[in-house]
Amino acid sequence: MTSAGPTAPSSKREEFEEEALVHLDALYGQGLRLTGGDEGRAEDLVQDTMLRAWRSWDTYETGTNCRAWLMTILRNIFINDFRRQKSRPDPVDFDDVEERPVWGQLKEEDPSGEFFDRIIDDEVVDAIQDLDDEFRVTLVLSDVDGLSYQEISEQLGIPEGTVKSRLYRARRRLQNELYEYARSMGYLRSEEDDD
Amino acid sequence: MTDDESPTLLRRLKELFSGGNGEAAGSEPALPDEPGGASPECEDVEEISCSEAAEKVYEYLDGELAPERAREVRCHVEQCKRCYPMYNWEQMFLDFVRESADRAEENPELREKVEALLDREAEG
Repeated sequence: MTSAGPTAPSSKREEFEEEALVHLDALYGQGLRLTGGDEGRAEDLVQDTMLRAWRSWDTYETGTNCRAWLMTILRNIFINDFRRQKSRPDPVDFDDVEERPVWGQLKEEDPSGEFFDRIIDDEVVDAIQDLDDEFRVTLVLSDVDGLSYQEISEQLGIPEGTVKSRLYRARRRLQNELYEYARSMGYLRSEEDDD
Repeated sequence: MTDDESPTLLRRLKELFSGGNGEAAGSEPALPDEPGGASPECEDVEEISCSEAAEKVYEYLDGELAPERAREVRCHVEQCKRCYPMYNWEQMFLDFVRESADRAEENPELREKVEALLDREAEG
């Protein structure tokens, strides 16, 4: 697949393959998380990321955390686009979001701790992808990428209080989605079952 | 509740977080979970209610509270049979989300597209 070229570019290409391309699947996973499972957008994001990384490869210090460097590039590309789109009025009805804490239910219905044992990763990924854009992006930046409230606030251009509120609601909604899934699969004991 | 009787989840909570008894939450008022009561850092701390502790759960677990506020929460939660398992469950939930969601996704066609993109770039 690689083209034979002069020594210098070939060396750059080999280095790029070894250091950067090995993270392609991780970048694609992040692209899917941020875009809500939009495969086309996620692929575009990864290609744009790789192209930008290739063009600025001389700024990358070999041996440092290449994955983190690439993830930052991808996140910046996504967020620039996201902020442009979200400059329009928000269509999400935030008051409509289910915020019931599920812990109160689970301590009664899940005495054997099936909740975490039975729910598979795919269900968590799907539930994250189903979140509204504002909730999903905030949750991914915090709970997967580990950014602080201040960092998310700066990245998304929203107040820290809004970050806190979106994160709270995103987590509650995610919990409720997974709780309903666990109930539908019979992993939890409902009150009716006790009758 | 003895260890043998305690449910799996609560045993896992115990394993995950040392220092607490991990007993099931009930309607009992908050009590010290071990003989000896509060740790020395809690002697002069401002007491907070369960609802205040519940409000701050994510800020605390995300490490976003100022040190003094975090100490208030920690001192309450460590001694509260109602809040302790709830806090631990929320921490488990956050860990669970991170471990489940932070995964790579294979896409061989995308790899080919990127390789072709780099070929074109290399050729100028």
